[in-house]
Amino acid sequence: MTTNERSGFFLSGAGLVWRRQRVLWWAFIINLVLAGYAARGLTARVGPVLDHSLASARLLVHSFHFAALLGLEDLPGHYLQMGPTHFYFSVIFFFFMLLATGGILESYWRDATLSTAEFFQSGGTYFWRFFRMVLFFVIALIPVGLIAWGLDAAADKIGDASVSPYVWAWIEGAMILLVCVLLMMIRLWFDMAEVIAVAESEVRSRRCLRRACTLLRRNFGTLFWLYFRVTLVAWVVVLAGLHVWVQHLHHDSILPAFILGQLIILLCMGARFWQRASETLWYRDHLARDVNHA
Amino acid sequence: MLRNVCTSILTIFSALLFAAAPLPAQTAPAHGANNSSSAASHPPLSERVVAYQIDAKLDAANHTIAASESLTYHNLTGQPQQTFPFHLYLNAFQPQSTFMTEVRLNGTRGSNPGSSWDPKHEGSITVSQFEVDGQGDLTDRMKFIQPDDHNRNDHTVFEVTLPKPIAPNAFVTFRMTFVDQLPEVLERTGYKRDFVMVGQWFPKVGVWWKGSWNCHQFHATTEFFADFGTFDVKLTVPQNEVTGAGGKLVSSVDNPDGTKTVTYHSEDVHDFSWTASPHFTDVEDSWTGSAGEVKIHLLMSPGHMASTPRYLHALKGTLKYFDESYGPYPYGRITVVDPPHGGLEAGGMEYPTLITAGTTWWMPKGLLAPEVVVAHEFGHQYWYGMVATNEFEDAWLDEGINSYSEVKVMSLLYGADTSVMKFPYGTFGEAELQRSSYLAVPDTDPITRFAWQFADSNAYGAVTYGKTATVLLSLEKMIGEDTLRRALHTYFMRYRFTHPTGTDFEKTIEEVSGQDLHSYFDQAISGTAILDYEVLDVDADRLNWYEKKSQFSPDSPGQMYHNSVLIHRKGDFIFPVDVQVKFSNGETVLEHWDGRDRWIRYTYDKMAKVVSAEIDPQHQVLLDSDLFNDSRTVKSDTHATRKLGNLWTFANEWLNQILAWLT
Repeated sequence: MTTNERSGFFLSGAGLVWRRQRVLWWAFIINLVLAGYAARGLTARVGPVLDHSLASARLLVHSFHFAALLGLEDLPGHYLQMGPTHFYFSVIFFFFMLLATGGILESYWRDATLSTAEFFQSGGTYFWRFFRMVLFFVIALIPVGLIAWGLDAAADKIGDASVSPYVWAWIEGAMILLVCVLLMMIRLWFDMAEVIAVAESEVRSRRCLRRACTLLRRNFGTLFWLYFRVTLVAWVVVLAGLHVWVQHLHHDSILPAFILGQLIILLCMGARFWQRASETLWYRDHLARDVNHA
Repeated sequence: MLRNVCTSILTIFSALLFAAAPLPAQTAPAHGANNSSSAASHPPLSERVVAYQIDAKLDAANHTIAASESLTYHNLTGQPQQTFPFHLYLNAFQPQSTFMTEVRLNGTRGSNPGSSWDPKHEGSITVSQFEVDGQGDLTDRMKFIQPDDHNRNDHTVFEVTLPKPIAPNAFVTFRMTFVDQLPEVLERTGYKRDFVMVGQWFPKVGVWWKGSWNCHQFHATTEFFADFGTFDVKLTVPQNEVTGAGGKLVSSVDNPDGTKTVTYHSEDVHDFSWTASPHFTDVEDSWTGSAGEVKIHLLMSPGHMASTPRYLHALKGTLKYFDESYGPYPYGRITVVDPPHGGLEAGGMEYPTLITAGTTWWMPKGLLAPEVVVAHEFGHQYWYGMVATNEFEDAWLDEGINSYSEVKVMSLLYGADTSVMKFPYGTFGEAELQRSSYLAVPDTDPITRFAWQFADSNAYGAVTYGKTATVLLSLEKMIGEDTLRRALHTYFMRYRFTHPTGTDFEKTIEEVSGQDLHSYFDQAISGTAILDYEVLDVDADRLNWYEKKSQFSPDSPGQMYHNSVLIHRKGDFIFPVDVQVKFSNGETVLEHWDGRDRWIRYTYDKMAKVVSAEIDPQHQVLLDSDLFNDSRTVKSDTHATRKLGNLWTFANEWLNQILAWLT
């Protein structure tokens, strides 16, 4: 495969996300609404404390004193304490995305805007397959966790024995890099399995995973580079966004900060959808080439 | 060599002349406690009770120190003394010691409650021989005692009863041979790889104080207490070691066996610590104050050189502040030890003319931890080093006053709001740090509690450091910042090189300020009451409320309002406060309330509506536990709530995304 072709999937993936942006907007809005609900408990608690206080404007709006934030927790009401409800909203979003992934991939595979009914029908069709895949995914993460734990312990031991503090830092840095690569590889593997499940209506999760594994082994460079480039874009967006937020937005700028924060989230979600779209396009092309060869 | 001859002469002299008890007052050793050594260039600054001569050899491979010690004690107690207690601090690092038992139960600065025992942390000090000039070998008379908790497994204090008492004003010389086993660095002392930080490492005599011996066991939350005197210490270490110590370097001689012997002398101090590492970079600098030049040695560990200018800036700034505010720094030298990575347990500690700092290779510019540590530990040269209060019983007098001084220095050097963290998004100031620390455990213990008797190590830290600093910052509101500075100056100049008490401190502040502050001190220092004032209500009502509203426009000229502000003393702590009331026409009224009643209502009939009321409008009463209820506006302003809500929403969205990545 030529560089041009590779760039093609990268860019056409972005084009596909742009064309079928409705799913992205829906996912973004639901994420925002659920996160907003999760935050509502906190704002409902701190509102009566802050809304009529001159200190809140002085310490939290015109500037931001970490001590004032901690002070809220030290008060008898423990206003910053998070309850399990915070996590419930994240779990709801997790299941929503598990349901939506089938619809998203169907939309990308067909390159068509699905009606709501079609979208959720696809989601329902693939839900249990993808749920099983999540379980396999978690199992696949265990060795990565063990590797990370082992390398971390080794870094601590070697670093502890070394006079230079940089030895530990280099080993930890290499470990983090390795773990990130492994995580991306595993995610890519499961992404491709999900694409295969949708593209070929394959009902057996394990067969999808086996085929995705073979596919990834044979086309690792191309697929990983495709996935990695989008990841890189996402991180650049996050870092640039946070830089603007922290360095250039005034403390009082609450609405602009909200908009910027949401833009960062939207672009990050967009990048994840972009990975899915690029992988789907690549697989369609791969199947077409297989047919031509045959 | 000269020292050995002199001490031998003294021994013979004592044996011949003073065989009968008690020893007469005129007995003066050649290197007696009141004799300044040849290195001394000025009259004694302190009443020198002790003169230590130690000859120690470091076994770097095994982390042991073999040493002999000669201690000449000047009996200034005013009465004959026959029983002498000694500290053996290194014996705290044993699993059944009081120290470790307390660490296990309550945690301490480097360990959490319930932490498991690591044999690497075992340390000890074994005295193999104990002789007293003129009284013979008394090794058999050494007896471990446990004055605080009767834990028989605690060997951090021993006492010896001499066959013959020592007369008032007489001298007695103790000679000991001992071996230290250093722990892997824990609670200030020990080794990390080939770095050693050697503190509290030799048998140290207790202090005769308030009419009895004061020689407490070593506890998880206590520090130290000792008499002033002189130290002549010879250290034999491998030649590749770079050494630093709390004394002036007198000589360094290479020995044929690959070791070198470095000799240090120190006077008018009450402790001696030292450090060695082959990897130190010795950065030299100097600063000149009212007592002359102060030579600075920074012993920097590998990877930490980027922190050198930060340490120096903080150190020189602190030297300047203390010199100008409290009094001169007379020692002419200060050594700052930067522990290597993994050895931070040795960091953040004070010894006379030597302090340990702490940094990392990745320390961000906006996090001023190295500066805070240096400012704090140097401050101890005054509050502990020279004003040598009892750290076992009055920890607040050194740690607390020093934390207050740290706030003043750091605020001056780095800004009141940015002296701990200065990041683009948010900040953290030193005063806030102390206040936050206090509010974490505000009411379990009074400040005056003995250090080992606090509810736990968190309460000790919160109250001793955080509350004392916050109490003194709030005191500025009552007597003025400059008056408090002058009071501390007087306290320092009056009590340097002595062992003052809390009463001495309080009386000095009252004397300088000319105010009776006992009510404040009783509540803040001896009590546990919480200070919390709140604006309970602000309200404006039309004076002619009984007339129909439609007949008037609410803001029509001439409309009179009955304004009411209700202030509530929510906590039990009584403190006089100012209340600032603002009106819609821009008018401001400042009220003063003594706070004695539980509440007070201010009313105003004006052609303007009350807009807001604020207690302590200068924001000086940091003891107030809730700054948000100190003010109340009529109009709601949701900016802060929305800002926090925005941050929370953003954080939750990230959490959602991370979970969604699994699908």
